[in-house]
Amino acid sequence: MSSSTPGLYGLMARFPDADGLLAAARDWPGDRGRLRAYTPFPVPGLDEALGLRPDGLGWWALAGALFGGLSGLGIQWYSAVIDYPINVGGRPPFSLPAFLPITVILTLFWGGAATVLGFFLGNRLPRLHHPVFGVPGFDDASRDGFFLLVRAGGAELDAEGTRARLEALGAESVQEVAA
Amino acid sequence: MSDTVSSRTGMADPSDTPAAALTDHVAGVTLERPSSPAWIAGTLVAALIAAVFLGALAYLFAVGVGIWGINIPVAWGFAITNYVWWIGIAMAGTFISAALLLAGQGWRSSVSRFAETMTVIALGLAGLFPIMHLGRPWFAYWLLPYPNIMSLWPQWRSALVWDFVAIASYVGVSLMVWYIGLLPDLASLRDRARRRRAAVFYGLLALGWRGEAHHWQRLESATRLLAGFAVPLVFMVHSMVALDFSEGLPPGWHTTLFPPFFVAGALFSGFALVLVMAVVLRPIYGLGRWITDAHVDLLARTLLAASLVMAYSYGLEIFSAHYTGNPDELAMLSDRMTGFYAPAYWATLLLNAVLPQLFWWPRLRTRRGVLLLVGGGVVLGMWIERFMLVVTSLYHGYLPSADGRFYPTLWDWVHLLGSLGVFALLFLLFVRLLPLLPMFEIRRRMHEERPS
Repeated sequence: MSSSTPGLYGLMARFPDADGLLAAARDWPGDRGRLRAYTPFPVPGLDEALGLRPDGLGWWALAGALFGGLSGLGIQWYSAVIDYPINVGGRPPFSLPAFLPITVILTLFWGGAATVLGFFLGNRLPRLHHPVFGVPGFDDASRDGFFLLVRAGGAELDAEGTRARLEALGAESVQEVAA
Repeated sequence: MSDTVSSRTGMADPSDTPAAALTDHVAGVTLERPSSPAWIAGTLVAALIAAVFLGALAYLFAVGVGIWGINIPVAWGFAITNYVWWIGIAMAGTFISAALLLAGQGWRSSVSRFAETMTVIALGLAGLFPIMHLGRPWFAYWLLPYPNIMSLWPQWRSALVWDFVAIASYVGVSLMVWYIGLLPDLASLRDRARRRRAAVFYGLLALGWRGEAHHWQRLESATRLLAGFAVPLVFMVHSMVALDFSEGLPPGWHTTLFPPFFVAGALFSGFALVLVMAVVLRPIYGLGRWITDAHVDLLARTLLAASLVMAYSYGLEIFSAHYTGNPDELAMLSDRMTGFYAPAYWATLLLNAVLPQLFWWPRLRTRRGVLLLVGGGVVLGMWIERFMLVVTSLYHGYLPSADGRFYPTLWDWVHLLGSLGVFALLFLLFVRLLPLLPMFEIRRRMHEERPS
């Protein structure tokens, strides 16, 4: 229980299938915040097993939708009532029914756009490189490989103890990830 | 529904995991498989037609819309027909990727990728035609609200402005849906690529996707939220297109039936093209294991259902003309059935309402020739329908002295067929450059349907 390697990003364990990974994440004895799972598809139940917090994208969507709707209605109101009121067939300057289509459309558009913005910011993407790409065989994470990473996360990682624990949880192989 | 699909998917190849077999096959189509002579020939022909289209576009912008057959009274001709038709084709991708997602229809994933790609390409072409149709296309940006020295704003009460906002938003949301869904598959291609250039190309496109649990969590949330926005948006888009017509006064256009009628027609034509694509691509790229007869069967059933809605709409047009007793509407109706453009009316009925009834026979829903006949017939029939709707209401007015017929010129045809060439070119490039199936969704479906 000694050799903690400096400059180690973490340890990457490969599991035979999604169920093995799920069980390992559930039974992990240590700090769950250090775990990162890599899978070829969204595995149902993995979020709970890893203790992930809700991603909050719904709030992004709500904020975007409100911004889109209010700004869409706002610009129509400002231009047709304040800046350049014109009489079109005797309709009032603020013709709400006629202004609704654009308001609704922009609500939907900005809701979607803010969702995508939240998706990229929250995931810290785009990103050109990441330490896990250096792990031999990590290619399979986009094919049929299920990986669990234990991050050093600033602290020194007890490499041998962690390796033993991962293997006890059913890991097929455990590799070191260079920072 | 998904049970019937899964029981018929029939995963073979016990040596490899199904997920690995899927990934290697789909990535192999893009990365390893040499371009077939047929693909090269098709791409060359399509590129040639696309080049002709670009030349014709330059000629149009240089000379003006007088090169087309449009005039007063028929001021809307092929350009508007093509626009409405292309935008209708686009609907299927959004419907398959968004509405069927929200409805929990797992089978959609087999066809969603190329349907979404179809949407993006068709939308680009649809957006082009109204600009081509402008007498002064260099003023197209006047549709945007921006502070200018003329202190002018768009006329917010006009359906044309609504339509512009709707299409622009729809292009944006479709691109986002398409690209977000591509990320994990681009990462798969990056990881499979053996040549350095391909790895860098797909690596850059994948934006660093690693398949981390956080990524998937946000991808799933984002996909659902985007679907929730896209479904009402696509209904808005086609309603706005329809309002371009029904805000006008000519008999045959001025009806509240138009928005739902256009939405149904859009869905109908788009599904027909998806069906044709599925039947054509499946044998060429060996996708039969993932796009099974069960999938094609479901597409054919959807087409049949949409065809019944269309038939109902055609019936309702006849009914409401008689129900209101409005003499102009009645004259319009009888002119559509017996007038100069009557062949277009009867072709519409035959191709859109009669021919798809073949799909009542279960065996015909999986027979290649029938699928191509009906699917192709509907794509063609919907173009004819749009043409019929645009032209028959314009070419005769309330007084016979104002009548005037529309005859397409060579340039009308060049722009229509040229846009088909551009579509074919972009689609053929997609087939070679991007993953044809949403692999991660199918991997997930396999996981959920695994024998335990």
